[in-house]
Amino acid sequence: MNTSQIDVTATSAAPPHLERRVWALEQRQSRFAWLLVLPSLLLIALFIGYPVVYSFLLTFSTFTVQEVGWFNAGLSNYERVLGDRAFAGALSFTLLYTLVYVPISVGLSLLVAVLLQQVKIGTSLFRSLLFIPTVIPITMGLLMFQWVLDNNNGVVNNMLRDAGLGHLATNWLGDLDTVFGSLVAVTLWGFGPWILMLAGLLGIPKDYYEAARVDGTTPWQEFLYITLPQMRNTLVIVTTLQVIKALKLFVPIYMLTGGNPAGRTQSLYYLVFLKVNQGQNWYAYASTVGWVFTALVLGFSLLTTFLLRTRRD
Amino acid sequence: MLKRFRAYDSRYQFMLVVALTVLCFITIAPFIWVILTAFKPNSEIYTTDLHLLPQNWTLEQFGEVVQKGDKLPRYVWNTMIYSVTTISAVVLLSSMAGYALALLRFKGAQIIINSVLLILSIPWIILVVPILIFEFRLRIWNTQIGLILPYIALFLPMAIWIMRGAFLGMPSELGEAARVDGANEFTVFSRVYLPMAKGGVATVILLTFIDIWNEVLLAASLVINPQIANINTGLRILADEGQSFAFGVLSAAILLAMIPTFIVFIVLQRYYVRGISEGALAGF
Repeated sequence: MNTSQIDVTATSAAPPHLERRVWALEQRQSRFAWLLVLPSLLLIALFIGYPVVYSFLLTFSTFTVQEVGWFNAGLSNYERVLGDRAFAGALSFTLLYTLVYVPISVGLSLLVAVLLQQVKIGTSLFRSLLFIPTVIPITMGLLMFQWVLDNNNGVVNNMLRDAGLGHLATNWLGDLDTVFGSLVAVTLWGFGPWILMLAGLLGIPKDYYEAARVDGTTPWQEFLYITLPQMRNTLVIVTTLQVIKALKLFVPIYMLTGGNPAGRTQSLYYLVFLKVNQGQNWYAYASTVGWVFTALVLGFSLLTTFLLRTRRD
Repeated sequence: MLKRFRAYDSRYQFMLVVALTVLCFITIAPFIWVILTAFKPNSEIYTTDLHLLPQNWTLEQFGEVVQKGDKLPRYVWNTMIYSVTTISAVVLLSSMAGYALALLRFKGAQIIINSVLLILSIPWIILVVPILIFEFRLRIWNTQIGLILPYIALFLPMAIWIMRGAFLGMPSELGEAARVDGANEFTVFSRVYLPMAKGGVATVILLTFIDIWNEVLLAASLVINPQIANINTGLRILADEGQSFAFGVLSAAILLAMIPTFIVFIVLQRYYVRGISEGALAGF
């Protein structure tokens, strides 16, 4: 507060009584601003700030129902996590899912957006229909698939049997060979964030396409030489969002597989959730997995922020 | 030349329409299947001779949803309570903070803005253990307020970011004119600027609503009493009960539970694209 007083008196050439009024106004504004910000800050400090610090310290500590042994554990929690087979399994499953899901979802969302950008008939109908998965709460969409893919009464197996392909019918979400593919397919329902892609496409000036058309380009050339270069930033942003979303894979596992069959579909996020709910003796372990995961996500975000910055320059 | 171009164009449009029709079909096919199943009697659901359309249309599945329960309607009701209380608090607090951070000058504003951005990139998963311990001690674990408070706190940073964005472009002359006319700071905020930020408020309402109706992690960790379960953990409970709450009833339940989200989307849909773009870009 004192520095702002000095600033005002130093820079203004107004007569003294006005100076005092400006200063009083600034003080009043600053006090009012803090009044407005304070309730939010308190809640955030209590439920985000304090937990972040607490869980970070917990990764170096032991936790039992009776007591917290601050800094008793040294790095042993990290050693335990990194040497743990469950963690290794969850890490490789999560990374594999990310590697498969992200390219397909980015490609599909771009495809849908380009189709919607180019089509001139029934545009709003197509948009509304493709928007439906966004409107449906995610858990309900997933339950729907649990049942469409059901072994006995699911419509997919039924159609296969009707088509004489009964040997292909299987327990899609319960079989080791098919569960991964089924999870990827189910989470691709809705074709990813095509809305963001479309917003990016609509931002490209129309003259570019008109000028190209005068020169007699094909749609494929338009896509290659106008759309793709113009969409570079949107593509980087959407890819980043999808990577983070894929790394945080949780709700589909919770609703559809529960980490099974044979614990093969435990994502990192789900592993932490599972351990937290196994009781207080697992709290230190769960926090450590959580922080390793956080390091992964933050590292990736920093990388893309850096990429975006350098590309813009 | 022009004629050839036209012919090419219409063939191209035809291909686009075919491709989009296929994509739309893939999108809505499972959804239509669920809708139609909700109108089938059990004998047509548990059979190897499945038909697309119900042979005998019936409302018995909906009847059973309502009978069983007090269950599903209760989960929907609980989620309504969670969303209405959380959204009211988030809208109030975030418009206050967003206004201060956008239009008022005070020391520390920049630090707060940077912290909000940093918080947006923190995965919620590391917060669960400390919040659990904290709530055990305060004895609010497994209570409604024990879920609402973290919801408010965790949805606030994104909401503050959006509200700050909504206030940011507004001219400061309006406030100064009002102050010269003798308005106090609170009047300037509530009467001059807040009415102009309706778009931001609508965006915050919509995004918070979607997030709460999709939230599982906290709902499953902080609440285990089925009486106060939200819709997502509730549907998981119902699905686990398997035999007693079967596919027919479940699809009727899914349809009924979708109604609130549909209504909110229809009313606020034009704020959706702007909202997710702003939200998406916040981390960068």
